Amino acid sequence: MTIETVAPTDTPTRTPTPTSTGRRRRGWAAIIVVLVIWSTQRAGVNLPDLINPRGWGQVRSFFAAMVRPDLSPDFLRLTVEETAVTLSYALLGTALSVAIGILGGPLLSERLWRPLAGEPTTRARWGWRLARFTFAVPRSMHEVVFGLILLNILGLDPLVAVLAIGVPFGAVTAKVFSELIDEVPSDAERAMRAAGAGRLTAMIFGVVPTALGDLLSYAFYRFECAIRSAAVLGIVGAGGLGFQLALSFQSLRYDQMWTLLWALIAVGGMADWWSSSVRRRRSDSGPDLSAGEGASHSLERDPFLVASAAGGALMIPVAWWWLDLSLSSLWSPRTRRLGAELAGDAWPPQVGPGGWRSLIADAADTVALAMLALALAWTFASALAFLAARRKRVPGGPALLPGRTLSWLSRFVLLIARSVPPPVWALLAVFVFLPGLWPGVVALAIYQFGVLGRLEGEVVENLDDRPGRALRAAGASRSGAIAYATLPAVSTRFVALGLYRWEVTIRDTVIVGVVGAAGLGQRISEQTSSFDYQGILASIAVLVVLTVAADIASAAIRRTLR
Amino acid sequence: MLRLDAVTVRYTPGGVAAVDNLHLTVEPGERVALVGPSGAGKSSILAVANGLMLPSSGTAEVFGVDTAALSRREHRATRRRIGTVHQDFALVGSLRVIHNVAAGRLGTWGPLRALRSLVRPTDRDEIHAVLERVGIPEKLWYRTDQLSGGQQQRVAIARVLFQQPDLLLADEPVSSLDPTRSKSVLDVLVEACEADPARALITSIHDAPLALSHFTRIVGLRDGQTVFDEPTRVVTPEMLDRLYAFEDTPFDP
Repeated sequence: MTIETVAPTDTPTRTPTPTSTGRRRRGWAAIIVVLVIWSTQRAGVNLPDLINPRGWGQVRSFFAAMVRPDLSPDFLRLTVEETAVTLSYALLGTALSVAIGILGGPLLSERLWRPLAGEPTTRARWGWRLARFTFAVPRSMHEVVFGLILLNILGLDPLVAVLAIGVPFGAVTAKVFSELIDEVPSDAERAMRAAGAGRLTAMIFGVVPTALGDLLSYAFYRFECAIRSAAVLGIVGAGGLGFQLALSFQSLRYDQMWTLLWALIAVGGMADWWSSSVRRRRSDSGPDLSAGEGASHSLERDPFLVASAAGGALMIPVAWWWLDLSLSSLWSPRTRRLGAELAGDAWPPQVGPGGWRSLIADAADTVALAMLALALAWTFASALAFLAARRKRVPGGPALLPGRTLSWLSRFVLLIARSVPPPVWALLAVFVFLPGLWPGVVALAIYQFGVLGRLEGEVVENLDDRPGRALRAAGASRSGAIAYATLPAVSTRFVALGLYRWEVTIRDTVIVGVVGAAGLGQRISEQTSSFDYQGILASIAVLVVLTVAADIASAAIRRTLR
Repeated sequence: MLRLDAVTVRYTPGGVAAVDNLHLTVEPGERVALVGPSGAGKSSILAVANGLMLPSSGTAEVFGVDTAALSRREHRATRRRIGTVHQDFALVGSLRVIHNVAAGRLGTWGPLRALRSLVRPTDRDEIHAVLERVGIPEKLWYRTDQLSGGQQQRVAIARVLFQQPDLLLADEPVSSLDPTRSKSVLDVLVEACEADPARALITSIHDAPLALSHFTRIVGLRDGQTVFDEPTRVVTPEMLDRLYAFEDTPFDP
């Protein structure tokens, strides 16, 4: 039979012709170039006005302390304890985000709102939109913003960090899970509904088991991000390694800072390794209908994946016990009172002194900061990704990429760039740059460089390297082979990754803002210290709008890349 | 039991009709074989019958009521009584066989019961017995995507047996099976239908001898229209041959 039982329920969309896609792509490219030029002008390019030459001494002594951290027994013990705290925040935050993701994912999926046959009703359409919107707001708020709000309500409670990580990450996880759910072939779920099963029941039985493996591997990636977040949250006062870092910085004890930073780098490196191993194993697997018995390499059969999932789950109660976490403060009268007070103080939002003009200027600063940071990070990361990619064992002939030592070294540089929390980079940048956009740009650029370099390195690793090796074997130089075989294959993926980080970078301007590096982040941190809650709410609202706009724009550009 | 009245199905508005102004009535106790070349509209008729597709025009009545007029709850109650063996099996590959068979009763389960059953499967003995009827009891705990195509087809049939529907629909349920297995699987479906005089079976099938040996009535289809609709005893092998042979005419020079 050529006709399928499943009706094409998607409304037919206009397929863009190649030329219109190309034109649109060139249009977007022009817009991005203009934005970068505008951002550079806004940040200023006249070096003598920007650099403070006397600050170099501080930066030099900071990096000199890298090789002689404070290894006194007392401080080492403190470091180990605080590392456990940061890890526990990250683990419990991730667990919460996965729970929110599992509950929210089906709700956000298009599939839940679709009738078995025919078009969705108006009510279903609006229900779906409402669900998307409800999750879009926490998604576009940074963990630090949640942290600052919760610190005001809960005080110095480990719950602050767990919730500040878990809620926004949960909103992201729910969105990703909903996309995974919508990608699962629909035949089994539709068959169950055709036999009378309810929507949710059919989803639990027919869709979730298939999507769960990918969700779990995504959870490991989230854990890796959560460790970096937990460190930053510490700096704004939530305890753990970040908090100690801030204390050591205030007394300019660089040796102590490096003890803490090495701990952070070690933990971050291990989490990165764990999460990328899990993802690599998942991508190797996947059920294969055509294969015979024992061919599929499933989640439940791979001992490493089983041990990873079980180990992660077992650590949850340990982390809970270590933090001495208690949920009772969530509904204590004090929390309720402070929460109500905060809500009363913050509503209605107000633009505050300086009026719209200053708010808009800060918003423009935020956009410029993110644009420049991302442009710099993307350029350097794309160059280094080829060096950093893990080497495959080649059977013989000239290698496409340079040697292993260089690869290890590049990966180590990237690890340091993303493991040192951005506020620390920002504080260092403040020594060298005069106040303005540049300290924030440099700090965010270094951090995003570390993250993007790793993601792009994975793209190069997953690439089929045979065309490049063939060119090498035919006598092409290394750079020639990369330019003709590898670059064309990875360039669209690189651009897509850069665009994907755009939204994240705008969100992240908050973390360099809290140390005074311009934009809405700085505005929020100033408003926090003057208890201007109405102003904070207005600033957060603008930041949310910017993030959502960047999200929509980046999705639109990425569509032209396909 | 099933009444299609002037039903037309188009996959795109204004496109070719997969089912064209078709009338079909099936009474309890009947076993109807839908035969005809690929593209004749067999699958579309079954999809309209089980509610996976809405007719573009005309009405479809199941158990005496127009499905379009039903509320969501009533519609679900109706669907519970219709069981389908899908052409592409519609199984969850990452689940074990026992769960895929248990899914037949999802219509009577809420979300919580479904979750609990995924952790600790219920009705094990009954599911084992159903798998025995289709000849693969030893596969109870296998992951479904590790079975061969023929074994998966029998899991799909076991699911519908476990559901115990009043209206049994099967879209080419023996396409992946060898002749001996095909016969025994159809025996099982016929047996399930005969167990209760209120039940009916509608099957699309290409195999002419099996259509003649297992069904009480045969509907010949071409281009979405009925060519003949007769009790099996008056259908001759020649009628079936002609139905398929038609296809070759355009290829004559």
